[in-house]
Amino acid sequence: MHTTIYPIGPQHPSLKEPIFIKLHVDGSRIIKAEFNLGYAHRGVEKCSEGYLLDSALHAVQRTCGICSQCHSMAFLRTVEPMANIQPPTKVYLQRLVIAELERIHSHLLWAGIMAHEIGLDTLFMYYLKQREHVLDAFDELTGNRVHHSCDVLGTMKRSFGKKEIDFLLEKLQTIEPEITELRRVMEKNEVIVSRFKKHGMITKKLATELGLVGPVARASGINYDVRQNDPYMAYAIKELKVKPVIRTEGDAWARSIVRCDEVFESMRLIRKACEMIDPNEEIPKKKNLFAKDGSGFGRVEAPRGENFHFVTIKNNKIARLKLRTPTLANVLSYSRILENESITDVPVIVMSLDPCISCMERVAVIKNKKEEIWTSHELFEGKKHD
Amino acid sequence: MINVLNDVKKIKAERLISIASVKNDDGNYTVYYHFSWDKKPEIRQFSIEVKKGDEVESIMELFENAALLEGEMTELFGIKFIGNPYSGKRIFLAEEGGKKCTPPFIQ
Repeated sequence: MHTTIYPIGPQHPSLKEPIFIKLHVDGSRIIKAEFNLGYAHRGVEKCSEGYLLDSALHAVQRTCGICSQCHSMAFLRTVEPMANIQPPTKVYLQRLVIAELERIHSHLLWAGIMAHEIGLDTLFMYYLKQREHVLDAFDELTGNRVHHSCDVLGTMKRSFGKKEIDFLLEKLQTIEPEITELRRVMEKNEVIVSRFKKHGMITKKLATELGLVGPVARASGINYDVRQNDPYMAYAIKELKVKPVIRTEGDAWARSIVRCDEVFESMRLIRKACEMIDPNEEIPKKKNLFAKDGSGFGRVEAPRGENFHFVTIKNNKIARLKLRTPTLANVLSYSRILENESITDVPVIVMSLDPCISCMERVAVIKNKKEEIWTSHELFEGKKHD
Repeated sequence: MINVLNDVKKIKAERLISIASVKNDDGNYTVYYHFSWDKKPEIRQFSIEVKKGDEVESIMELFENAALLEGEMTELFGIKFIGNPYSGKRIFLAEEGGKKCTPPFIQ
């Protein structure tokens, strides 16, 4: 048997972020797949060291452009008990609304890119059109479209009033029928079904062995959702209990349907939370807080799965921060599920795992035009890229 | 070599969430392991003290996802894990002039 090495990446038209996948192929069949990481390492962990909790939160929120709220929630879930502070329910409900909106936005973006990978660019446009409504809602609620930056220790930067809530509910009303139709396309369209079904199979046994998380694990029949198993913040309220979407097929199609259905579950949670938010209630103002020395950990359910933070505090400053993002937990499955597949299915299978490479690697050298390396001090002072 | 496998087996955890190291004031390290269960709302923390230059037994035999987590600890802190093929390999950090850079967290 003669095998050829076929490299994909670090820069490749089918990849949205840099990762190097080395395929050993016989004809078009993949014999073995290896991956190489480290092209988007940014040093969020090292950057945060020695900074006050508020400043570190600023860096933590910028770990990922898609799920920034989940990183800030995991960080706050860890440090708020250490700083001995309990925010009011309204703050928890507001955080839930942003986190669930983020899940909708992340899954819509993923579905669009997935359609683009198999050549259905019109479907890609339809998905992105719906995502735009969600970004408008973010703009109205937090003032930012992508990096929301709406959390502070113990409270939030804005309080949601009637105007904001009405705008959000109106946007949900607009996108719901459209997304229902798009889900039907995802489920029934012959092109999608033939490209996704029986490809990238992950059995329940393999998912358990590799410790997979998020929609990838739930599409393989594992009932594991942090919102349900270890409820936090507003998810602990009885009315806002999450019903995880579970499928047992374990292929790329099942992972797509799990994500599509999670969008509806998120919409249900947002509507329920909006009913419970009192628009006239004021939220507390930001205070200077002091945390005890020691270490703590916390986890939340990000759009891609369990997001875990480990924080050590010394003299009210971060001594060590460790982030375990969901993509890092899922990355080992790449080499296993690509074996015996055809080379044409690689983009579909890799995208069906919804990889977020910059989230996974967490640390890059940031350079300006003069090729100078930014220090962490400049990064925190917010020196602009000119 | 520090043996951890037997202690970890006693925890009877279903999942390994993360492995994190912290540098102590005396120059040694504490390695924290975090475990969880699919049904229990609990995270169990298990920690070991590692002196500079000590090697630690890998727990890849029990949890396959320890591969990258332990490999990352080697890369960032220089703690070697015996029995892990990723330990000592380049994972996240860039190479400078074909040489591996010094683990950044021990500087």
